[in-house]
Amino acid sequence: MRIAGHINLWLMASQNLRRWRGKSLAIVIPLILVMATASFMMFTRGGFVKDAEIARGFLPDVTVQGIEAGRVGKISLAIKKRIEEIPHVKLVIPRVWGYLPLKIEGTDAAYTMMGLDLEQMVYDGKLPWTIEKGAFLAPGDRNKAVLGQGVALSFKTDVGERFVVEDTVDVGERLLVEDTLGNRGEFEVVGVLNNTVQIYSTDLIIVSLEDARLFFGYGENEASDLLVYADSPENVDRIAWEIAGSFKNTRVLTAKALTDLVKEAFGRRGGTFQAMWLILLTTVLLLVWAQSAHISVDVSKEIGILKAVGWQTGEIIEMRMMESLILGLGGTSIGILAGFLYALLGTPGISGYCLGCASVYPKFPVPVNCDFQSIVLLFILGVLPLMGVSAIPAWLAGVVDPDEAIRR
Amino acid sequence: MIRVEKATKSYQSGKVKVRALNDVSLEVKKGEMAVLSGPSGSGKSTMLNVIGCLTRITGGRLWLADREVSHFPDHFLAAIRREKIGFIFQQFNLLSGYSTWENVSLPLLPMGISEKERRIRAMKLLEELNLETRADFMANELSGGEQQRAAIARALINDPEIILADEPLSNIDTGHVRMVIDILRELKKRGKTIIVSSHDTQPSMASLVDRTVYFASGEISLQEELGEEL
Repeated sequence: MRIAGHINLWLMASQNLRRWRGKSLAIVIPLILVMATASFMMFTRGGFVKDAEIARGFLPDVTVQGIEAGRVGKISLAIKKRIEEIPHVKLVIPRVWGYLPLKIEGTDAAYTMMGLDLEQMVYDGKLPWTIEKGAFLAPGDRNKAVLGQGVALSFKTDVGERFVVEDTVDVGERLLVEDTLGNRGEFEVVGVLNNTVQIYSTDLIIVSLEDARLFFGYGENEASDLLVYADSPENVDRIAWEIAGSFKNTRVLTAKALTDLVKEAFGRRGGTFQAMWLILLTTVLLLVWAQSAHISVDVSKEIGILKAVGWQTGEIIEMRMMESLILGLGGTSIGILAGFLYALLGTPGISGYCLGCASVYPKFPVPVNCDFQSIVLLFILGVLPLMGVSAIPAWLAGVVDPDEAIRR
Repeated sequence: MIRVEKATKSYQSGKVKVRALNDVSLEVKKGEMAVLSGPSGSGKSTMLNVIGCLTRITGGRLWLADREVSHFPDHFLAAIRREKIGFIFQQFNLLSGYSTWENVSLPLLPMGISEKERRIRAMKLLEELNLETRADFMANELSGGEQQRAAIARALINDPEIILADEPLSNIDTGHVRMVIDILRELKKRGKTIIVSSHDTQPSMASLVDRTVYFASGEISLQEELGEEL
């Protein structure tokens, strides 16, 4: 068939969709809904996965925590030197951190204060966080803090007041915190983190190791954990085994194990997403099955007539597939756009479930990651089944004699 | 020339095997008009479908324009239907969602003919059949007689050599019978080979007919060759 013939078939296919508006809408509206749901889930899940991947870059090779009475507790720095002597250990850095349970505007919120050894920052000149405003802490800094964006937004309080700030805490302002346990601290805000990985940084208050020790009541020889860096990635497991074997009252976590923990934290939600995927797939299949059944009853005669007036079976199938392609592409595109917008708007109504961070205040949008692969997958899901089910009945009606197809 | 030799056609109806044609042989010369006559279920419509390549015979042979087509693959038969045969169905078989002119021009669509050209060709035929004012009406908005004329126009759009009409007079009122017969007369004048199935031969059509073939129970019971009385 000449190209002009194909063009005619395509034009007729698009005219047919206008001609059978009701039928077209009956297919395309559920398709839009299904694809919108599927796409927002994919983009949101993609956001979590991306955040988890970025977070892995933040982690030390091995984290060593102290165990007290079978629970995670302080770790003595006495073992720091012994760990440094283990072959292939490049550096051991103590870290002190803890949670700040606070009430902000009547809402229970929890923040994380993290004290870092500023003399021993080992990020090869690159911080795991990027700074939106101001600067990061410098060695020797005391009573200074870098805040996650959530913290910066939450503390609407003036210097000297507790948790009630007239304006957003900004660079140069002072942050006075006192947790429900009575621990107090006063810090000058020197920087605010950006929101690249909000789920991991929004609630952070980063201070010097000494300030954190003071705030949480740690002794000079105590830390929350030790961050161990290996000289090369292949030695990480060996070091971890060595530490775990040598120091009985410790819990040793490799970066991989910690990442797995993060994955597990969102795994259940991931599992829910998988279940929803299955439901959506079933919905799409039911939709296309209904479409297929409709075609087989209603259009078989039409196919017979077209064959009787000289159309080839392939031409009929091509036209049917074109109709489905237009419907599928249109419905899927609109659905993806709607899903993307819903995700961008913060998945209103279900963001709490998606994030699982009820104590993070203020709420922040669910991370969204819209990548090429996801879009291709969504188009495959939205278009191919529809094309398949339109081709199969057309083919079934097309392979029988026209007389039989007309009389069905 | 159309030649059917010892054609049989069987099909399954539930658990019963029905023999619609039983060892039927028939010959219609180029430019002739033949009427296949007989009661319902006698096999005349099946014979017409076989000649129109709308169904395959289960036994025997079929020649169209001196070529044996019995074993042609489907795409060849589709090409024959498109280029050589114009089929007028008893139930008209117009597509309801399409306008009259679109229905008429349907056979041209996969041939790559532009919409403008298709419309010109369809309008020419519709004018000949006094249906040009209904060109943009939907097929289901036409009366029975108008649908019949639209179906005739569609059968003629490719200027086929062979016109096959299944009971062309049975679903229209008496006012339109005369008109259809006039159309058939005109087509015969143009040298088309015409085969019509009819359960009763209209006296006014008898003058056109060169050959009448009587069917009964899937077999030819009688063949009459008549002189042309145009």
